[in-house]
Amino acid sequence: MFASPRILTSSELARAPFPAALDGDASNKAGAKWAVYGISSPSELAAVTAWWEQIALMPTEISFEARTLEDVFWEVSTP
Amino acid sequence: MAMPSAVSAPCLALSDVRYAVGSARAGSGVKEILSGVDLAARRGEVTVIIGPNGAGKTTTMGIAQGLVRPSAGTVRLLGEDPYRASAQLRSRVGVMLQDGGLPQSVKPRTLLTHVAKLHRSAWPLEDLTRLLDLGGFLDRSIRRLSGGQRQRTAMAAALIGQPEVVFLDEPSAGLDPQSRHLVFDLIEHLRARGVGIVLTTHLLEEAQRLADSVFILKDGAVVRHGTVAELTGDDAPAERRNLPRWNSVTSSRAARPPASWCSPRLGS
Repeated sequence: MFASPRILTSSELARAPFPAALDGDASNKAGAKWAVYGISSPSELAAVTAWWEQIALMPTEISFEARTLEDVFWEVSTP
Repeated sequence: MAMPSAVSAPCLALSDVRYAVGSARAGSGVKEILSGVDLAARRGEVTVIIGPNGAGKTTTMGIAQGLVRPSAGTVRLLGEDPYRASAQLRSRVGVMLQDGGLPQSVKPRTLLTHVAKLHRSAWPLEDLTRLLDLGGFLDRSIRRLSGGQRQRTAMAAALIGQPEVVFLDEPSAGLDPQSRHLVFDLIEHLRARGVGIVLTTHLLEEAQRLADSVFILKDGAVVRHGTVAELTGDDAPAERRNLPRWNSVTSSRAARPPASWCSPRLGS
């Protein structure tokens, strides 16, 4: 999860190395929190920081969260 | 309690189990409730069945317990077809129904003493009373008990025969946090003694903590299964490098990427 100091454009999101989406009920605006899914190794994390470098984005906040059974449940049960 | 010889031996197996209601001949149409469920549970393990409302969890539990006859497929509970089960098999299985199914006019002590007499080797009531904190209401009629107290009484009734396999349908429903801890501590105690535990729950945090294996049902079928680590982990980096890029800017949980993107191996 990272907080962006600015709006992210569709083309910037299209260059993300992993699926990225607004977290929870946030909207795409300055300070919005974004979740990046599927990172499980330092090299994969490096790919994400490289993406930030490409789009000249310095997150104001970064955090890590393991996937839970609830995440899996939501993925499976949402249409 | 009789200890099983092999702690990890399978105690329950459902294979391609189907269940439909209605009749095409009667013109009412046929509705398929379960459409080919495969599921296995082992002794000394907690097997958790989760899924949205209407997914088929309770029907699956009913079929596994022998209370509901499947339309097709095979079910083996401790090696026997539970629907045609002998009294001997039934005495080796404990069932706690979702609504408790308790007689309202009797007291927990009377009920549990009676159920204990039906079994060759019953769990001492004093031990169950301590483990489930039943002491404060053993001599109060069941209709006067709170939902949580009824729930614990129903669990005691399911366990007093020292079953080798126990089915718990929503065992923590309606419990306060303290009672919930008691119930989950007891489940861990049962697992340590080699009992096979099959339970449904909507409390996913507890499921994550307790489960040795998880089956996720949706629309009458198992859509995912595995250990918690297998379901939540992602150990297929080579496949993940080919993930499609997701550039949606919509929000909410429903906008999360398909599960297969995060865990391709498990989608197979």
